[in-house]
Amino acid sequence: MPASTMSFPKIDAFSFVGGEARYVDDLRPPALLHMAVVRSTRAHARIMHLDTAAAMGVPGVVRVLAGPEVATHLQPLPYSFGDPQLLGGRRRRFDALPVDEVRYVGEPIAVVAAENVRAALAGAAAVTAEYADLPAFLDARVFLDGQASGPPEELRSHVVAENRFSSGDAAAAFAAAEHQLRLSFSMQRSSAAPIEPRGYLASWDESTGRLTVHASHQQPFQLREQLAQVMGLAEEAVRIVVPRVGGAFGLKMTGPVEEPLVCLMSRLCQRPVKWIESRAECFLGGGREQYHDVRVAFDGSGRVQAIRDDLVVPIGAESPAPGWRQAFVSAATFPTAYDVPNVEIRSLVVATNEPPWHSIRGFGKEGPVLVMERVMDLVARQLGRDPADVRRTNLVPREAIPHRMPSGYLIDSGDFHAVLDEALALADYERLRVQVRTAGGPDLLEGVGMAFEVVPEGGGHAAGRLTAGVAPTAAAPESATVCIDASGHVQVLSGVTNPGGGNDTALALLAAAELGASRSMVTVVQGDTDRCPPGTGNASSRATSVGGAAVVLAAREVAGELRRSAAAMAGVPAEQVVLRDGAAHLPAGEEVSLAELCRGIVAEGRGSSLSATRSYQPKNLHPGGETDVYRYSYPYFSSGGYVARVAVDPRTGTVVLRGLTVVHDCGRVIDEVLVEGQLQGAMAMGVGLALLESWQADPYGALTTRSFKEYLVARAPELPSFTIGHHAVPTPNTLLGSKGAGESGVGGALAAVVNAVDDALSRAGAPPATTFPLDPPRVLALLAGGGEAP
Amino acid sequence: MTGPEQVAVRLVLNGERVSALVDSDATLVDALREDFDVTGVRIGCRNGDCGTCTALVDDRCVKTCLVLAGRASGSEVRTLEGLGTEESPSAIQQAFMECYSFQCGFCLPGMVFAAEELLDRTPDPTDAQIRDALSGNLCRCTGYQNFVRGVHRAAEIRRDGTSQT
Amino acid sequence: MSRCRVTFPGSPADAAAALLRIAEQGGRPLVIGGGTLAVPWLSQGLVAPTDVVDLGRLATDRIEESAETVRIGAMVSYQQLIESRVVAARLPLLQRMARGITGGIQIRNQATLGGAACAARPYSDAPGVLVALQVTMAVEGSTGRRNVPAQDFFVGPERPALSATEVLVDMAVPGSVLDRPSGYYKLKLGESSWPVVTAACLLPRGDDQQGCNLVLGGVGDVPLVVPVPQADPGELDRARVSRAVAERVEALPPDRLWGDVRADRDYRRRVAGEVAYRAVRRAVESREGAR
Ligand SMILES: Cc1cc2nc3c(=O)[nH]c(=O)nc-3n(C[C@@H](O)[C@@H](O)[C@H](O)COP(=O)(O)OP(=O)(O)OC[C@H]3O[C@@H](n4cnc5c(N)ncnc54)[C@H](O)[C@@H]3O)c2cc1C
Ligand code: FES
Ligand code: FES
Repeated sequence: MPASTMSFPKIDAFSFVGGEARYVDDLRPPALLHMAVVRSTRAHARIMHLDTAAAMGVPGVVRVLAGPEVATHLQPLPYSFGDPQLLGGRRRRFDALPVDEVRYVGEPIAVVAAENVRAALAGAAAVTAEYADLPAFLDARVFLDGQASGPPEELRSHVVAENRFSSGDAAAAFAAAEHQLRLSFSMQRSSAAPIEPRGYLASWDESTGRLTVHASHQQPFQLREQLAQVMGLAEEAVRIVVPRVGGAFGLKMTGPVEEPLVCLMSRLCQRPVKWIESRAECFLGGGREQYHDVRVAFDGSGRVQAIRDDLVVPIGAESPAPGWRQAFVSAATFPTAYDVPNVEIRSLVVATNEPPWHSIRGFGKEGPVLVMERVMDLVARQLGRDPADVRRTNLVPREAIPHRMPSGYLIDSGDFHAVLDEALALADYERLRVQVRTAGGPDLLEGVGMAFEVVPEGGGHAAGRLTAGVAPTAAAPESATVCIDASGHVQVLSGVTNPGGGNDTALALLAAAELGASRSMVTVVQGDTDRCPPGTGNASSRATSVGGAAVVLAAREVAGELRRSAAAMAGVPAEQVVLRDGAAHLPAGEEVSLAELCRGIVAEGRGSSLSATRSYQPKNLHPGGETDVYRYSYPYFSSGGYVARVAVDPRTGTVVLRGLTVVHDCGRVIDEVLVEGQLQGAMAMGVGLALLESWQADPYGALTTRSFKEYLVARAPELPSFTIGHHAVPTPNTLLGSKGAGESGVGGALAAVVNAVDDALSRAGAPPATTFPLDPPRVLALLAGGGEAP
Repeated sequence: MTGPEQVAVRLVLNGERVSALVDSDATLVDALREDFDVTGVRIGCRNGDCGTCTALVDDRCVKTCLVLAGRASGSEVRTLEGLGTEESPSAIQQAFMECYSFQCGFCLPGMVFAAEELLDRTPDPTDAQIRDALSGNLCRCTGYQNFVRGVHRAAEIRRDGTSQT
Repeated sequence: MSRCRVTFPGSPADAAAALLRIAEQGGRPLVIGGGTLAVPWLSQGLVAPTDVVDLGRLATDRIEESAETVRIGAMVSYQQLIESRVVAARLPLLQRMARGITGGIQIRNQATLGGAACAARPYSDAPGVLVALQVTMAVEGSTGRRNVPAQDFFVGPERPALSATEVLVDMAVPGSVLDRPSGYYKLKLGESSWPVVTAACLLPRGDDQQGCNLVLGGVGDVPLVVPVPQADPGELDRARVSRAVAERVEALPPDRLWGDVRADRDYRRRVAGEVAYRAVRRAVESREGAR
């Protein structure tokens, strides 16, 4: 078969390997200008003077914009994903550029447009600023003291939100506890770092008053709404087009100020303007950082009676982008997959003078997984029991699902015991457990670790009972249009977007299956707000489960019409027509090709194509017997059991990952290859978080991990091939029973690898690992008995 | 006339003779993209770390963000566009498509050319050799696993002397 | 709209002449060897030269073997070191180091040994190896050529013994270090990481009376030569080597210890003995393998 007609796991595969795929930086309309951003060099300061004159003198520079001028053109930036109050957070005003005060090193203070990139950068370098420094708040750990009594008055101005969730009576449980543990954990700040950074190309058309923005983006409809608002335009006057995206992982959501600025620049210069982020700029953003002070009460069997976690989540400078919302999700996801009767979670979300959080794969759910999995291991260790048994003792049993968590999140489906046991079996855990104790020696410590991960997915991160004064939340729908034209060609237009994974392929597969067509007859259009029905883009692992459901509904409608037409032609009942292999099969064994059928329909004058648009909202289940009413929140939970095996070099602290196994439940699997691809990428990221990735700044708040040589992400030689199994428990909350597969893997891999390293270290007498990542200096410090390396 | 701040760059680019006057401080990746309309090299870091700017320059696998355009003048340059066609892809291209090796595809320039150079030197590589050869390229989507499978598959296709299954 | 002029000298003398001209005009030069460090500095605006001297046409990319020495041109790439038969046969230390360079096939093709020497960074493979090999660095200036022993070439972190009007031409490896059993060990934090601590070790050839050369990189701000007790190499156990390293490191003023974003001074000091021992062990193994 020639390659061109082969069905590869990914549609349009050759456009990628042949170099034809177009990403945003590949677009070069005539008269294009390039924008560069001037950034603050201070963590917190008043801007005393900003001099742009020299920049205007740089050859090729066309325009320089600073805060005061921008303020005359742009409205304040609105919050993405709704009012902060939904999450108990405070509000503030955001301008695209600051007028008098900078809040972090790297904050944009001016933008420069020029004839080419090099001139724009030279122009930006020529802008000078004078500052008067203000006190910078860079270390949120001061909040850890005295959490119970609330933050001290002098620090209150940094508090963005306080999130508290509880169930049962933790105080009583601690008073009666047989065993207790107190542990603190520090999870480092990390960055999404897709290989393609952010980028936007704005083209203002004065004659039509329309703005077209090509953006490497995850949320075209949200971007349209926000740009319209900030620019003072009607939504119809803004078109967002998303070309190929070189990975996103949360980074490319709406909110960064470069979005309106590049548009304003285009409108003022009357020329298309492009901004492509540099790698160092891309590394400014971060997320995930959190500090936990955890107390656990448990009995001799390892059953956890109570858990109390005081956590502090520094979200960087406040921002309208959705990143900071992950702090809420972290607190609300406790105590993950475990059935703990008494829970008390007290979370302080605090603003610092570091760059704002961006959303990042896992969306806050990986922190609680890490903490709970460390807790399970350390409970087991204290009792001298197998960590697998301690987990079995505490996992929410299948019969208890649906299970309401203290935050109000609802675990809709799953069979945690089966998933864990299958993962242990697939990894041959019993054998590994013996092996790591006998293998190795003074030159090599071996370890095996496990983790159980649950990931609330499908959108809707607020939580809780719907009581007086609590704003309700609603499920966001996804929609799709499916049409088939006179040649039998199927087009799917979807409101979900594709950041690079394979959801376009999955949508094509789903439409093809309903229509009895082959995948090659289907084209998928995504990310164009003029052409596609609205949707949420790419967020919360819902593209296939929710976006795909809309495609199925629309395709079913079209398929019904096709069946009815074929039935009418043959004079048989429509139920007897089967769509298969690109044709309608009639009871008598005859068949009519879809193309022929469509030609007939078109000839009858029923339009140039057959088309249907449908939207789909995931449900929220209400468990029987529950009297309280809850807010809408995440409709489904995927889960996974992970087993990692490592070898630690005790004399240098380096760690080699020998193997990583997962058994995963993402509900019904639409396409195994695609799901496994998602998992592999997420697990690689989790391994990186366990061992390598760490965002760092100097004592003045300036980023020191500015390139991939300081911010270390995993490369091919340091990863093994992962072993993946599936255990599907369909969710009742989506049409297809499928759940998510975009975020799973990060927290599970992270926790399993950390636990494996800790297993190895503990047998050499080291204190428990509590600060991450476990890079060689930290591992060596643990082995020296020190524990907390800086 | 080339002023002091521009250089004439002549290349044999994917088999075709091309030339342009290029800013003398422009790198080869900039010239290829801006002056010669190539999209099969991309910019992921401008720092030599990610490999998305990789091309073959005089038959050597090179990160073009590390070379000034003027230095490359006179060279033969091959980018993804110059490798195979949809009807007849190179063994690596074919194998990467078959094995779902890539997702967003941004990292492909480095992955494809590093794999090509590896198989030229080592027709039947081990996993470790493949991972070492790909080590100059970052991929944030895949965890590299399906690239490793893809290179094995490409070795097989090359051995069987056919790119068809 | 380039911000600087670029020249491509055809010989070391031309390069030196170009640099002299730039100096006389009060310009700021940037020399580009393989370009793997210097070109990103330029394109990211970390340096703002008035003139760039690109050595890409310099024709100093040969490895020449004579009876007494092996001469390695400044522009020889790591890949050439890996593929060279002379290097494989007579300088396995250099070959092993080259194989361990990260950044993939591309960097091994593009980065040069001379560039690594001139960058003179403590977080780098080449400097320590060049010192262990007692290489002589040939430097061309406007007034001619001069030779500098590698140990004197590394003056401080990122400070080679080069003036603004000089280029490195080649590195001569003396006959006394050829064909000696050797070992190399590099500790890094991950595949993406620069070297953290390195050790290069050369043992005496057979029974002659040469000492053992042991050089540490990444612990001090320049390569550290560690005096090794005159024992039979087979008796160089972990304790002996670690002690020798510890003594050398303790003798160093604290401000000459190296630390950076990857690892602080303390970690480097802690692992130095072990890294050195592993290089020695590999050298001993290679000697035994050869017997
Ligand atoms: C992805 C990546 C991975 C890397 N991995 C490693 C590694 O594992 N180990 C390691 O040690 N290094 C590593 N490096 C650093 C590597 O760039 C250097 O080791 C390299 O050899 C520098 O050589 P170059 O020719 O590219 O230098 P250039 O960038 O050309 O120059 C470096 C410096 O030396 C000067 N210079 C160069 N040649 C001469 C000359 N002949 N005369 C005078 N001055 C000169 C330049 O002006 C500049 O200051 C890596 C780099 C990258 C990008
Ligand atoms: S852009 Fe050249 S290596 Fe990243
Ligand atoms: S496939 Fe996206 S970076 Fe490799």
